[in-house]
Amino acid sequence: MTVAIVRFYLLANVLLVLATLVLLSVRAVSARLPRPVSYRQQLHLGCALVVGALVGPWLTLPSLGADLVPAVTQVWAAPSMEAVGVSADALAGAMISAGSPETALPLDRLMQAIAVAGLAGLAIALIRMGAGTWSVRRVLARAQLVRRSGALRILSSDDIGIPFSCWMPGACYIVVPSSLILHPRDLRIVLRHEAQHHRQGDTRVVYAMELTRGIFFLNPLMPMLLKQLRSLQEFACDEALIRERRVRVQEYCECLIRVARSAVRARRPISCLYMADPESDSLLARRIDAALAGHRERLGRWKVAVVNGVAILALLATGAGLSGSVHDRRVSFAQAQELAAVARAGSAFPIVINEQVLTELNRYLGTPDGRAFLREGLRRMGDHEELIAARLAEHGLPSELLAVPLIESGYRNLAQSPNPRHGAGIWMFIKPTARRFGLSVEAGQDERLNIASETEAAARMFSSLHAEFGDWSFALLAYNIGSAQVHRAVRKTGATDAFFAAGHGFENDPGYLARVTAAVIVLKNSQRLFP
Amino acid sequence: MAKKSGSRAIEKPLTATELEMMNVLWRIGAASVHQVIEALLPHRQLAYTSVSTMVRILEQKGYVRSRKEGRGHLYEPAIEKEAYQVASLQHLVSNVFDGTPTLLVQRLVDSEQLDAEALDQIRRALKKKDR
Repeated sequence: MTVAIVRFYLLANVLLVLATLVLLSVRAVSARLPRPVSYRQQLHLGCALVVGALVGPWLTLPSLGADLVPAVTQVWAAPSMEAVGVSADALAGAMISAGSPETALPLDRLMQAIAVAGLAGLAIALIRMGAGTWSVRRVLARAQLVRRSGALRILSSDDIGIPFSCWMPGACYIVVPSSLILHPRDLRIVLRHEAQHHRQGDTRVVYAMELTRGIFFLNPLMPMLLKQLRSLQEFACDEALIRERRVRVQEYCECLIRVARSAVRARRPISCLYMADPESDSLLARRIDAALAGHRERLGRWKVAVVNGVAILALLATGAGLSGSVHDRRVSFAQAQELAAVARAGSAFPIVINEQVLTELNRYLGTPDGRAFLREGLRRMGDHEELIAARLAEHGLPSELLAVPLIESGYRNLAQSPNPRHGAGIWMFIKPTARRFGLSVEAGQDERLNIASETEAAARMFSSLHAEFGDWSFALLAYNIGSAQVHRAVRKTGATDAFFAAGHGFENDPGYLARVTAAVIVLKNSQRLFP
Repeated sequence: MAKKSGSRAIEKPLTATELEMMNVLWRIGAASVHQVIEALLPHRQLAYTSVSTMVRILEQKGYVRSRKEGRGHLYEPAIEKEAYQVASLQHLVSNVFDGTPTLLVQRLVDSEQLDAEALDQIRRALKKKDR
């Protein structure tokens, strides 16, 4: 859920920027057309784009593989393999990176920042709307009812200098300054103008716009987008009045100027629409220009549906594409079970999913260096896979043992390090074990570095261990700590399960058994995980 | 009829145009919208709808009451002019003269617009009040 919210917030911001640019482009192109697109249709397009920007991030394209879309943003279980905690599912330690993994940020901090920003913005928007509603209610309470028709109430107020319309649950209001009553011609135009806002749904949309502004207040283009939509509401309203409501252009423009002139610089609650904003004289001038410019081309209903549909689909597709680019690399318990089910198919090798295995899956699949380690290891494995698989088959051993060198050496043919407790070769045989299984380890000649010889020795060792314990988990544990230690562990702990013994400290490398199990799961799912 | 009380506070003050109409109603008494329009002529030419709306607003504010008369309505003041003057004066004292009536009288007396006759009338009013 956290990732979903983070993804929504980040992508919605990107899509809102795109929506703004698309709307600005459409308006710019339309203005240059011999018969420009009508303002109402531009307004519908703008609203459709905003809806698309807010819905798009919730869509994903499940058919796309994780690596088909460029991984712009990735969520990691931890910044590195070493930093993977015991609790792989916990948000603590999870990182999110944009571009390269080096730019990773703690996911919980980002989530907190988004929650703080989003909620603070929302709270500010709600407070502003609440304050606006309160001051409007005061005006409404002091105003006198002029006319009432259904849900519409026309009021006259001594407290305002500029007409406005607003919607409150259950009622649509048009409030005019009482001085306007003396000018019936202007009053008629004002009432038609404000009624048109109600008809267009502008008085309701304004609430959604303010909430969106609050939640995305950090988005630098948000004010521009909302300003465009607010101005389009006015343009569309003017256009509809002149075109459909038979208001004479000149009278209408003169009325606009008179209203703007008479409007004192009073406080204007945000949830209301004003006929003419005296603080935006450029908008007023453009509205008058547009009104005088004559009719605009109105595309047919189907054409508009197609244009809006294409715009929304383009935005949704971008959103879906981008949301596909946010890869959550962490492995959940359910995903681990799913991967294990694939690994178990047609195999008798024991593959369990427990907390340790989940942690190791996250160490290898959920960290940038873990993935790099696996990718390189699998690439090197390809060079020897045929040989090793053949030897394992000759000895009747399961192919899952290919996972052992992946964990031991990452399929790097490593020479003996100065530490004698360390092994060598891809199977990392320590000297005594190598000699026990017939490998010559002398100065100048170390047969452990001969992959075929060491693999033969490993196959014989695994055959022997499986014969001894009759269980692949105990055999793997014995490969790590030796048979004697496994027998001691069973005696001491009464373990019938290798993980139980490992959990009591009987492992040379903590988490070895879980790591090999994780590697087996990765091997069996390698096509899907590393396409 | 409680509106005739002299101490009634002004909740919704009259605008200049509303006062103009109230002055007509105080002068001619109960009147139809047409009669108000005629009384305002010739210095004020208002549309029927404007005056009709204004008197209905005055009715909602409590300054006017209406009664059905034939096909139309007759409107008459619901508050005496004197009561409105008292209420306005109280409003003026509390809002402009810091709640001090003597200050208002002082300003009035200082005003150059008061001629000897007016001052004499004030003196007589004060003497009458003393008795």
